[in-house]
Amino acid sequence: MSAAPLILGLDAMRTRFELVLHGENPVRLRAAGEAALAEIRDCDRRLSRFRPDSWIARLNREAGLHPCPVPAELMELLQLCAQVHENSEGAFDPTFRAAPPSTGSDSESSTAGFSQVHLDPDQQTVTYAHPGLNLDLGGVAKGWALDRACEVLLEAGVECALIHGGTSSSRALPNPPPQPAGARGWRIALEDRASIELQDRALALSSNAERGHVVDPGSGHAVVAGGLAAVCAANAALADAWSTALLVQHPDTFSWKSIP
Amino acid sequence: MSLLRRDFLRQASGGLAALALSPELDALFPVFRRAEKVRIGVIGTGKQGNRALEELATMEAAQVVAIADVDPGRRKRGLRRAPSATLHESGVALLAAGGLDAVVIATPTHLHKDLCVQALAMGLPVYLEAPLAHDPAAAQAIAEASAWPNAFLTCGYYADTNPVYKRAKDVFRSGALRDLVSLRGHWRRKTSWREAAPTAEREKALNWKLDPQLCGGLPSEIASHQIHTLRWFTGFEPELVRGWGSTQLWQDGRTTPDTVQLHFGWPKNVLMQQELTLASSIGGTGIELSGTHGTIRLAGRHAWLFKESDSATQGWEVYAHRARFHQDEGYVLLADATKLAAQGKLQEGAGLPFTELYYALQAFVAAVQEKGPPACPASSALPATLAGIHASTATASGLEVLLS
Repeated sequence: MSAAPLILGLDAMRTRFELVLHGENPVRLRAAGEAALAEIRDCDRRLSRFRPDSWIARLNREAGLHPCPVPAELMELLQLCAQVHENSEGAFDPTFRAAPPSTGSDSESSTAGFSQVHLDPDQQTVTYAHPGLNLDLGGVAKGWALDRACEVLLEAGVECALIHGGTSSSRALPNPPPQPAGARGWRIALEDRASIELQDRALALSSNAERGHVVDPGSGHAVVAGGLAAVCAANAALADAWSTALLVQHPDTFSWKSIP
Repeated sequence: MSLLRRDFLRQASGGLAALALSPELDALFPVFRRAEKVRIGVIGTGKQGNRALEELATMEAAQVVAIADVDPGRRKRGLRRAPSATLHESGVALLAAGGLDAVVIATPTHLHKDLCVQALAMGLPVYLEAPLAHDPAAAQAIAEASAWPNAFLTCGYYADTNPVYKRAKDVFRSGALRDLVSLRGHWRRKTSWREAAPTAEREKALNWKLDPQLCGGLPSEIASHQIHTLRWFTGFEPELVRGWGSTQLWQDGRTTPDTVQLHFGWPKNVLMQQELTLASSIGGTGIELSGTHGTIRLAGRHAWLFKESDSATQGWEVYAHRARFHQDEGYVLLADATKLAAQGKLQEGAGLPFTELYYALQAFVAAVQEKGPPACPASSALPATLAGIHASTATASGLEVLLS
C-alpha cells in the first residue's frame, strides 16, 4: 500500500468535505473517491431545505397538507431522528416553525417538535401535524452523507480511508492508516481536550462557542456557550444527532458518549 | 392497474365527479390513488437508475415492483431505494418475470437495444435513458421497434418535459430573439469519469464510457442532450459537424478525449459551438440561443431571457423577476410562476421545485396511466442520438461529417 494518501475535497452543505484515501492503485482510488464525493453532493441535493427540489423542501411544502411519499432512505433517516429525539428526551429535535408565533409562546409551543412529524413506514409516507412545521436535517445530514460515501468506498473495494465534513463529523473505514506504523486507527484530536484513535467508527463533535447554530428545542434559542460534545458511534448520522443532543443537554461542559 | 383515475371519474356520479375534479382529490381519495399505481420495473441501478428510483419513490402514482442489475452491489443499493421490489440479476430475467405495467431502462447505452426491443415486443411501455443507443444501427432498430402498433417508448431527453424549457420555448417561438445568430452549449465537470470496482472484470464493464468500442464518449453521451434541446427549440436540424478532442487532464491510459469542442452547422448559416470537458468544472452546464433581439440562457431548472436594448417590450417582462449576471440583466423564465407562488412552491430565483428527471418520469407515468403519447418519442430522440454519434466520429477522425 502506498504511504502517500490521496486527498480529495468537496464544498457541500456549507462546509468542506475531505477524503483521505490509501490504496495500491491511484487511478482506481481516485475513481472510488470521486464516486464517494458524488454521493455526498447528492446527499446535499436531497437533504438541503434551501433547495426547492430536495426531499426536505418537498416535505416542508406538502407534508403539512397530506401524507407525502418519501424514498426508503429518507424514511430510514427520519426513523433514526425519531429514535434519538425520544432517547434524548427531546434534546435532539430537527423541526422548527416556519414563522415566529404571533401570540404568546404558551399557545404556540405545540406547533413545533418532532412528535408532530408522523412517520408511516408501511405506506412510506410522512405527515406533519400542521403546515407550519418544518424539518431541517442539518444536525444529521453531514453524518448521513459520510455514511453513504463510506458505503460507496467499500463497494469499490476501498478499505482504508478517513472522511470528514468540516472536521466536526468524521468516519473511518475498517483498515488503519499505514503510518504511523502500528497505528490501530486514525488519531483525531478533540480540540485540545483529548484525542482518540478512530477505526471503523464515526466521531461527531458539536461546539457552539462561535456561531450558535445549535438551537435548544426547549427554549428555541441558540446554544451559545463554551461546551463541547463528542460522540463516537457505529455510524456518523447517529453520532451527529447525539452530539447535537449532548450539547443541548450540557452546553457548558465537555461531554463524551460512546454508542456501541 | 386495477382502477385508473379516468375510469373513476367516468364512473362517478355528477356531484362526486365535480368534487373529484377539484385539487382536493389527492387528499380525499388516497385509496383510489394507490389502486391506480403504475407497477414499474427498473433495469440498471447505477447512478442514473438510482436517481430514477429516488424520483419514482416520491410519486404517488408509481410503484417500483422490480429492479435488475448484473452487479450485486448495485442491486443492493437499488434495494435500499425500493425495499419492496423484487430483485433480478439481469434485465432479461426482470422482463421474463412479468407483473409490470412499464419499464425504465437505465443500463449502459450499448445495452439499450436488446432490452428495449424485447420490452416493446412484450407490449410494455418503455422509458429509455438518453441517448437511444451507441451506434446508428442500434438506434434505428429501437426507433423501428417503437413504431410497432401499440408500442410506447419515451426517451430521457429532458427538454420536452422541463416546464422552464417549455416556457422558454414559448418565448423563443414568440419571436423574442428575432433572427437567430448563434447557438452555444457547454458541459463542464472535473471528474475522471472512471468507476472503481473490487474486480478487474467488473471494473472493465463499469467503465464502458471510456471504451471507444462501446461508447462515443462526451459527444454521444453528453452533447446529444443539448443537440436535442436545440432541435426542439428551433425546429431545425444540424446539417454538419466538426470536432476536436484532446486529453487535458486525465493522462491515465484512456483513449477517449476528456475535452471536446464541437462545431455544428445549422440552417441559415447559424453555427452551434459546444464545449464538453471532464477537466474543468467552473461554469457547469448551460445552453444559449442568441438572436438579434435577445438571448435565452438555459441551465436545467433555470432559464433567463436577456433582451437587447432595441428590442420591443412584450408586456410580461414588467412582472418578471430579474437576475443579474455581471453586466447583463436577465428576466427569469419560469412556467406557471404565478400558480407556483400562490401554492408556496416557488422560492424566488430558486428554479423549479423538482428535478428535470422527476418531470420526465412523471410525464412517463402519466402517459402510461392515461394511455397518452410519449413526451419524447424515438422519432424525436433519433436525430439527436445520431448527431451525437456522428459528432464522436468527427472528433475521432478530424473530418467534417454531414448529418443527413
